[in-house]
Amino acid sequence: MAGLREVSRSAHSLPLSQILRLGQSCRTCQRRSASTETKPDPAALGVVTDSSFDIPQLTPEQKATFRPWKRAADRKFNLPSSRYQYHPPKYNRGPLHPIQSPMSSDPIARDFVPGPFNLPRLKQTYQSTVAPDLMTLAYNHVPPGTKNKEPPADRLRGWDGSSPYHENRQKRGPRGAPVLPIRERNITFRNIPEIKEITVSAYVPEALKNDDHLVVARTVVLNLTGAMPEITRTRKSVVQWGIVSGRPAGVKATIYGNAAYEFLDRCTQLVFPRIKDWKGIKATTGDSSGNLSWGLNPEDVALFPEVEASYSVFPAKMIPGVKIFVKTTATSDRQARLLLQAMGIPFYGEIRN
Amino acid sequence: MLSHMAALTPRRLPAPLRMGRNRHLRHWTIHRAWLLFRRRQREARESRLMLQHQSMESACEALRLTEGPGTRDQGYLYRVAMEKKGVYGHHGIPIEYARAQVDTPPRVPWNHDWKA
Repeated sequence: MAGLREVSRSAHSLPLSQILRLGQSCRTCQRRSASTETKPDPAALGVVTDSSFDIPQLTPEQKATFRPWKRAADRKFNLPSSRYQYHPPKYNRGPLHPIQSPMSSDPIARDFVPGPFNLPRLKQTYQSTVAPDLMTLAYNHVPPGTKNKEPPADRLRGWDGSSPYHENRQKRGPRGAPVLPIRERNITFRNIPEIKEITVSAYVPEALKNDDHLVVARTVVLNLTGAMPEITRTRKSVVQWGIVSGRPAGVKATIYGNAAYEFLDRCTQLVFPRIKDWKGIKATTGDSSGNLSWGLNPEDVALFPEVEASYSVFPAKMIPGVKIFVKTTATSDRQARLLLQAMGIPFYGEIRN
Repeated sequence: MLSHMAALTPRRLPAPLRMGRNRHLRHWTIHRAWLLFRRRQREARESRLMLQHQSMESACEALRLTEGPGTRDQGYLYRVAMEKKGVYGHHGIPIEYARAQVDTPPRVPWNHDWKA
């Protein structure tokens, strides 16, 4: 490993055989002298002699036995005619139905999307550097022979059985919380926090009066994320604010994987540094299960390159502010904060959990 | 940015690709090779992390069983190493750490004298 440490960081990810090959070619460069060798070594000139497109040559025996026309003639059953084509099923009939759709990565699948065509630099950084570093930073040693902690006693509240109706009744969640809060798990090599998805949402109550606000918000969020936004509706009626429940008054879009990394990269590199007097993100954000969120003003949304490039297209007064929710695989807010700090997002203020 | 224009319209999936037998076989081969490639990459990544974790474990175990510098008792260095002071604070990771890796990084990371 000491030898590996001397080569550049990017060479770490190469398989060992390739690194050795690099070393060999260098050695031949040093040995070569113009007086002794008449023919220049093609490898030294940077000419690639072996190609990955090369196919192994057939031996004479293989050539003699390879007779596809013979196989076709001897076939007992005809192949289906070339007019026949497999069509993946149009409808999902449930997991127990014999007809199932192929995987979405299969080129014939109906929901097949080609790609990925690039590796986001933030993802590359995460995989090569951030993930091992987070694992090392948060490493918690468990001496061998330590007994596993007892699994926590039933965290749901049972019923005392004072009524015959308590028989087989479902247990209740903890007091004051509708759902059982997630428990933090140690960061190990199997459990390193990672970015799962990012949701961008915009709430535009002005859309109740004027539909154009909704159209602009939809276009802006579509531009930011590249995913078709969904229209959200108001939940409650509040007379003082002039909102009516069930009316369309917002948009949201969710992006996953590579797109999420690209979006975060744009936020940290292009938008955050240009916001005036920006302290960072409030450290109290988070739902205590590893999902952090923050909001951006309309002026800050205009700093995104997608909006900035076509700024004149949008009515300036109608650009909405957005809320951004980052969902991570971290099991607690502090682990998620550690991940986002490593991605370049500063936090300020009180730290709660 | 838009990955699939037809996919942007809700509740309508684009028609599947129509391919003849040989063409389908070619695509299928490439598809399988791509999955295999990604699987190998992922396994290499995971095994590297696992090796790193295991070596950290063995190092900490050795540290736990050594008697510390001078008159310190056994495991002193281990206890010091396991302190997570400030890791989850505001400066657990310095902001300079977050520098995305690129193919051609600049020689000077940040030009402080730059003026618009």
